[in-house]
Amino acid sequence: MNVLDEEVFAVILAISVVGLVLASASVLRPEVVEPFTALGLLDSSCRIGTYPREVYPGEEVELCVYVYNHVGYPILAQVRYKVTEPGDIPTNTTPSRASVVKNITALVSHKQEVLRKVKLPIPLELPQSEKVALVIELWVYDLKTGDWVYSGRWNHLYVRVLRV
Amino acid sequence: MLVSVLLAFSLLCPAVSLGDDVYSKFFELYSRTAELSLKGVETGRLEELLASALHFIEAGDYGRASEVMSEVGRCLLELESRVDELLLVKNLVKYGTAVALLVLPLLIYLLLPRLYVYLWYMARRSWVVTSERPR
Repeated sequence: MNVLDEEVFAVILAISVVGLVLASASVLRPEVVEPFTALGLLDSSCRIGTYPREVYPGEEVELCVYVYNHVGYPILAQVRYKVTEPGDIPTNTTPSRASVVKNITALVSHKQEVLRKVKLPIPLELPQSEKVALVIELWVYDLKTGDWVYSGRWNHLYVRVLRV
Repeated sequence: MLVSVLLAFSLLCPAVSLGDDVYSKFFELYSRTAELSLKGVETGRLEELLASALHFIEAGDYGRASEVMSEVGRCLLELESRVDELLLVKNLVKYGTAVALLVLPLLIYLLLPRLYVYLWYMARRSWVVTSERPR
Protein backbone atom coordinates (compact mmCIF):
# COMPACT_ATOMS: atom_id res chain seq x y z
CA MET A 1 0.00 0.00 0.00
CA ASN A 2 1.46 3.29 -1.05
CA VAL A 3 0.41 6.03 1.34
CA LEU A 4 1.39 8.63 -1.21
CA ASP A 5 -1.17 7.31 -3.61
CA GLU A 6 -3.91 9.95 -3.83
CA GLU A 7 -6.81 7.64 -3.13
CA VAL A 8 -5.14 5.86 -0.22
CA PHE A 9 -4.14 9.18 1.31
CA ALA A 10 -7.67 10.54 0.91
CA VAL A 11 -9.13 7.51 2.71
CA ILE A 12 -6.63 7.86 5.57
CA LEU A 13 -7.48 11.54 5.88
CA ALA A 14 -11.23 10.90 5.82
CA ILE A 15 -10.97 8.25 8.55
CA SER A 16 -8.81 10.50 10.72
CA VAL A 17 -11.14 13.50 10.27
CA VAL A 18 -14.25 11.52 11.23
CA GLY A 19 -12.54 9.80 14.17
CA LEU A 20 -11.06 12.97 15.59
CA VAL A 21 -14.28 14.97 15.21
CA LEU A 22 -16.08 12.24 17.16
CA ALA A 23 -13.32 12.24 19.78
CA SER A 24 -13.45 16.02 20.22
CA ALA A 25 -17.26 15.90 20.43
CA SER A 26 -17.01 13.36 23.24
CA VAL A 27 -14.58 15.67 25.04
CA LEU A 28 -16.91 18.67 24.69
CA ARG A 29 -20.23 16.97 25.46
CA PRO A 30 -21.69 17.44 28.95
CA GLU A 31 -20.74 14.70 31.37
CA VAL A 32 -24.35 13.89 32.25
CA VAL A 33 -26.84 13.98 29.39
CA GLU A 34 -29.70 12.25 31.13
CA PRO A 35 -29.51 12.45 34.92
CA PHE A 36 -31.09 9.64 36.89
CA THR A 37 -31.05 7.81 40.19
CA ALA A 38 -31.77 4.17 40.84
CA LEU A 39 -33.10 2.28 43.82
CA GLY A 40 -33.06 -1.45 44.42
CA LEU A 41 -34.26 -3.84 47.08
CA LEU A 42 -32.10 -6.96 47.25
CA ASP A 43 -32.07 -10.00 49.47
CA SER A 44 -29.89 -10.44 52.56
CA SER A 45 -26.92 -11.45 50.38
CA CYS A 46 -27.32 -8.22 48.39
CA ARG A 47 -28.45 -10.16 45.33
CA ILE A 48 -31.67 -10.51 43.40
CA GLY A 49 -32.61 -13.78 45.00
CA THR A 50 -34.76 -15.19 47.71
CA TYR A 51 -36.99 -12.62 49.32
CA PRO A 52 -39.05 -13.36 52.41
CA ARG A 53 -42.67 -14.27 51.66
CA GLU A 54 -44.04 -14.47 55.18
CA VAL A 55 -43.33 -12.27 58.16
CA TYR A 56 -44.33 -12.09 61.79
CA PRO A 57 -45.25 -8.78 63.40
CA GLY A 58 -42.34 -7.64 65.52
CA GLU A 59 -39.62 -9.51 63.64
CA GLU A 60 -36.85 -7.88 61.64
CA VAL A 61 -36.39 -8.73 57.97
CA GLU A 62 -32.84 -8.56 56.70
CA LEU A 63 -32.60 -7.12 53.22
CA CYS A 64 -30.20 -5.01 51.22
CA VAL A 65 -30.83 -1.54 49.82
CA TYR A 66 -29.12 -0.34 46.66
CA VAL A 67 -28.90 3.30 45.56
CA TYR A 68 -27.14 4.53 42.44
CA ASN A 69 -26.48 8.17 41.54
CA HIS A 70 -26.01 9.50 38.01
CA VAL A 71 -27.13 13.10 38.35
CA GLY A 72 -23.75 14.82 38.00
CA TYR A 73 -23.14 15.74 41.64
CA PRO A 74 -23.17 13.93 44.99
CA ILE A 75 -26.66 13.36 46.32
CA LEU A 76 -27.83 13.00 49.87
CA ALA A 77 -30.21 10.08 49.58
CA GLN A 78 -32.71 8.95 52.15
CA VAL A 79 -34.42 5.61 51.78
CA ARG A 80 -37.69 5.66 53.71
CA TYR A 81 -39.09 2.33 54.75
CA LYS A 82 -42.85 2.01 55.17
CA VAL A 83 -45.27 -0.83 55.65
CA THR A 84 -48.59 -0.38 53.95
CA GLU A 85 -51.59 -2.08 52.42
CA PRO A 86 -51.19 -3.33 48.85
CA GLY A 87 -53.52 -0.58 47.61
CA ASP A 88 -51.37 2.22 49.00
CA ILE A 89 -48.06 1.70 47.26
CA PRO A 90 -46.31 4.83 45.90
CA THR A 91 -46.49 6.12 42.34
CA ASN A 92 -43.96 7.93 40.17
CA THR A 93 -45.15 11.23 41.57
CA THR A 94 -46.55 10.57 45.02
CA PRO A 95 -45.08 8.67 47.95
CA SER A 96 -47.07 6.25 50.06
CA ARG A 97 -49.28 7.81 52.73
CA ALA A 98 -48.07 5.33 55.33
CA SER A 99 -45.83 6.59 58.11
CA VAL A 100 -42.10 6.06 57.98
CA VAL A 101 -40.85 3.11 60.00
CA LYS A 102 -37.15 3.55 59.34
CA ASN A 103 -34.82 5.92 57.49
CA ILE A 104 -31.55 4.99 55.83
CA THR A 105 -29.51 8.03 54.84
CA ALA A 106 -26.40 7.94 52.67
CA LEU A 107 -24.24 10.30 50.68
CA VAL A 108 -23.87 8.88 47.18
CA SER A 109 -21.20 10.32 44.91
CA HIS A 110 -21.76 10.79 41.19
CA LYS A 111 -21.50 7.49 39.25
CA GLN A 112 -21.28 5.62 42.54
CA GLU A 113 -23.57 3.17 44.25
CA VAL A 114 -24.30 2.39 47.86
CA LEU A 115 -25.21 -1.11 48.98
CA ARG A 116 -26.33 -1.37 52.56
CA LYS A 117 -27.60 -4.34 54.50
CA VAL A 118 -30.53 -3.27 56.62
CA LYS A 119 -32.81 -4.86 59.16
CA LEU A 120 -36.33 -3.72 58.43
CA PRO A 121 -38.61 -4.08 61.43
CA ILE A 122 -42.13 -5.38 60.90
CA PRO A 123 -44.35 -3.23 63.13
CA LEU A 124 -46.66 -4.83 65.64
CA GLU A 125 -49.51 -2.63 64.43
CA LEU A 126 -50.14 -3.69 60.83
CA PRO A 127 -52.94 -3.12 58.35
CA GLN A 128 -55.65 -5.73 58.71
CA SER A 129 -55.13 -7.17 55.24
CA GLU A 130 -53.59 -10.60 54.85
CA LYS A 131 -50.84 -9.24 52.64
CA VAL A 132 -48.83 -6.09 53.29
CA ALA A 133 -46.30 -4.26 51.15
CA LEU A 134 -42.84 -3.46 52.48
CA VAL A 135 -42.12 -0.24 50.64
CA ILE A 136 -38.86 1.63 50.27
CA GLU A 137 -38.91 5.10 48.72
CA LEU A 138 -35.96 7.16 47.58
CA TRP A 139 -35.98 10.75 48.83
CA VAL A 140 -33.26 13.18 47.83
CA TYR A 141 -32.13 16.31 49.66
CA ASP A 142 -32.96 19.24 47.39
CA LEU A 143 -30.24 21.88 47.21
CA LYS A 144 -32.61 24.72 46.28
CA THR A 145 -35.31 24.21 48.87
CA GLY A 146 -33.12 22.64 51.54
CA ASP A 147 -35.67 19.90 52.09
CA TRP A 148 -36.19 16.24 51.25
CA VAL A 149 -37.96 15.62 47.94
CA TYR A 150 -39.50 12.35 46.75
CA SER A 151 -37.55 11.18 43.70
CA GLY A 152 -40.33 9.03 42.22
CA ARG A 153 -38.32 5.86 42.73
CA TRP A 154 -39.64 3.13 44.95
CA ASN A 155 -39.59 -0.63 45.43
CA HIS A 156 -42.06 -2.81 47.21
CA LEU A 157 -42.20 -6.37 48.39
CA TYR A 158 -45.49 -8.10 49.14
CA VAL A 159 -45.38 -10.38 52.15
CA ARG A 160 -47.99 -12.44 53.96
CA VAL A 161 -48.47 -11.59 57.59
CA LEU A 162 -48.56 -14.55 59.93
CA ARG A 163 -50.59 -13.73 63.01
CA VAL A 164 -50.48 -16.02 65.99
CA MET B 1 -42.13 14.70 90.38
CA LEU B 2 -41.80 18.21 88.97
CA VAL B 3 -38.10 18.28 89.80
CA SER B 4 -37.50 14.99 88.05
CA VAL B 5 -39.42 16.18 84.97
CA LEU B 6 -37.35 19.39 84.88
CA LEU B 7 -34.15 17.41 85.35
CA ALA B 8 -35.04 15.05 82.53
CA PHE B 9 -35.98 18.00 80.32
CA SER B 10 -32.72 19.83 81.04
CA LEU B 11 -30.75 16.67 80.30
CA LEU B 12 -32.59 15.92 77.08
CA CYS B 13 -32.77 19.41 75.62
CA PRO B 14 -29.03 19.99 75.07
CA ALA B 15 -28.74 16.59 73.38
CA VAL B 16 -31.62 17.35 71.03
CA SER B 17 -30.32 20.81 70.14
CA LEU B 18 -26.78 19.49 69.69
CA GLY B 19 -28.06 16.83 67.28
CA ASP B 20 -30.07 19.43 65.37
CA ASP B 21 -27.05 21.72 65.18
CA VAL B 22 -24.88 18.92 63.85
CA TYR B 23 -27.49 17.99 61.25
CA SER B 24 -27.98 21.57 60.08
CA LYS B 25 -24.20 22.02 59.86
CA PHE B 26 -23.98 18.79 57.89
CA PHE B 27 -26.69 19.91 55.45
CA GLU B 28 -24.93 23.25 54.98
CA LEU B 29 -21.58 21.58 54.26
CA TYR B 30 -23.21 19.08 51.92
CA SER B 31 -24.97 21.86 49.98
CA ARG B 32 -21.72 23.79 49.57
CA THR B 33 -19.91 20.64 48.43
CA ALA B 34 -22.64 19.77 45.92
CA GLU B 35 -22.60 23.35 44.56
CA LEU B 36 -18.85 23.07 43.99
CA SER B 37 -19.29 19.68 42.34
CA LEU B 38 -21.99 21.13 40.06
CA LYS B 39 -19.53 23.79 38.96
CA GLY B 40 -17.12 21.02 37.99
CA VAL B 41 -14.70 21.12 40.92
CA GLU B 42 -13.35 17.74 42.05
CA THR B 43 -14.88 17.07 45.47
CA GLY B 44 -14.25 13.35 45.95
CA ARG B 45 -12.23 13.76 49.15
CA LEU B 46 -14.88 16.04 50.66
CA GLU B 47 -17.60 13.53 49.82
CA GLU B 48 -15.67 10.78 51.60
CA LEU B 49 -15.30 12.98 54.67
CA LEU B 50 -18.98 13.93 54.61
CA ALA B 51 -19.98 10.28 54.30
CA SER B 52 -17.93 9.43 57.38
CA ALA B 53 -19.41 12.44 59.21
CA LEU B 54 -22.89 11.17 58.37
CA HIS B 55 -21.90 7.75 59.68
CA PHE B 56 -20.81 9.29 63.00
CA ILE B 57 -23.97 11.40 63.22
CA GLU B 58 -26.18 8.37 62.71
CA ALA B 59 -24.18 6.51 65.36
CA GLY B 60 -24.78 9.42 67.75
CA ASP B 61 -21.08 10.28 67.96
CA TYR B 62 -21.53 14.02 67.49
CA GLY B 63 -18.01 14.82 68.76
CA ARG B 64 -16.23 12.92 66.01
CA ALA B 65 -18.79 14.09 63.47
CA SER B 66 -18.01 17.71 64.41
CA GLU B 67 -14.26 17.06 64.07
CA VAL B 68 -14.71 15.62 60.58
CA MET B 69 -17.05 18.45 59.59
CA SER B 70 -14.53 21.03 60.79
CA GLU B 71 -12.01 19.51 58.40
CA VAL B 72 -14.60 19.57 55.61
CA GLY B 73 -15.27 23.24 56.40
CA ARG B 74 -11.56 24.08 56.15
CA CYS B 75 -11.20 22.22 52.82
CA LEU B 76 -14.34 23.91 51.49
CA LEU B 77 -13.05 27.38 52.36
CA GLU B 78 -9.81 26.65 50.51
CA LEU B 79 -11.61 25.23 47.47
CA GLU B 80 -14.16 28.06 47.37
CA SER B 81 -11.36 30.63 47.39
CA ARG B 82 -9.68 28.89 44.43
CA VAL B 83 -12.81 27.96 42.47
CA ASP B 84 -12.23 30.45 39.62
CA GLU B 85 -8.66 29.31 39.15
CA LEU B 86 -9.64 25.61 39.24
CA LEU B 87 -12.43 26.13 36.71
CA LEU B 88 -10.13 28.12 34.41
CA VAL B 89 -7.57 25.28 34.41
CA LYS B 90 -10.29 22.69 33.86
CA ASN B 91 -11.79 24.60 30.94
CA LEU B 92 -8.37 25.22 29.42
CA VAL B 93 -7.59 21.49 29.53
CA LYS B 94 -11.01 20.58 28.12
CA TYR B 95 -11.09 23.02 25.21
CA GLY B 96 -7.35 22.64 24.60
CA THR B 97 -7.83 18.89 24.18
CA ALA B 98 -10.71 19.45 21.75
CA VAL B 99 -8.71 21.94 19.69
CA ALA B 100 -5.70 19.62 19.65
CA LEU B 101 -7.88 16.77 18.39
CA LEU B 102 -9.40 18.96 15.68
CA VAL B 103 -5.96 20.13 14.52
CA LEU B 104 -4.68 16.57 14.18
CA PRO B 105 -6.21 15.95 10.68
CA LEU B 106 -4.33 19.00 9.40
CA LEU B 107 -1.13 17.67 10.93
CA ILE B 108 -1.78 14.28 9.34
CA TYR B 109 -2.30 15.98 5.97
CA LEU B 110 0.97 17.87 6.27
CA LEU B 111 3.20 15.41 8.07
CA LEU B 112 2.08 11.93 7.00
CA PRO B 113 3.52 12.07 3.43
CA ARG B 114 6.76 13.54 4.76
CA LEU B 115 7.01 10.87 7.43
CA TYR B 116 6.27 8.16 4.89
CA VAL B 117 8.93 9.41 2.53
CA TYR B 118 11.42 9.76 5.37
CA LEU B 119 10.78 6.17 6.52
CA TRP B 120 10.90 4.95 2.94
CA TYR B 121 14.35 6.42 2.47
CA MET B 122 15.59 5.34 5.89
CA ALA B 123 14.56 1.76 5.15
CA ARG B 124 16.62 1.83 1.94
CA ARG B 125 19.60 3.87 3.07
CA SER B 126 21.95 0.87 2.85
CA TRP B 127 21.03 0.22 -0.70
CA VAL B 128 23.69 0.74 -3.29
CA VAL B 129 22.57 2.27 -6.52
CA THR B 130 24.44 1.07 -9.54
CA SER B 131 23.89 1.60 -13.15
CA GLU B 132 23.28 -1.52 -15.14
CA ARG B 133 25.32 -1.75 -18.27
CA PRO B 134 23.13 -2.42 -21.26
CA ARG B 135 23.86 -5.76 -22.94
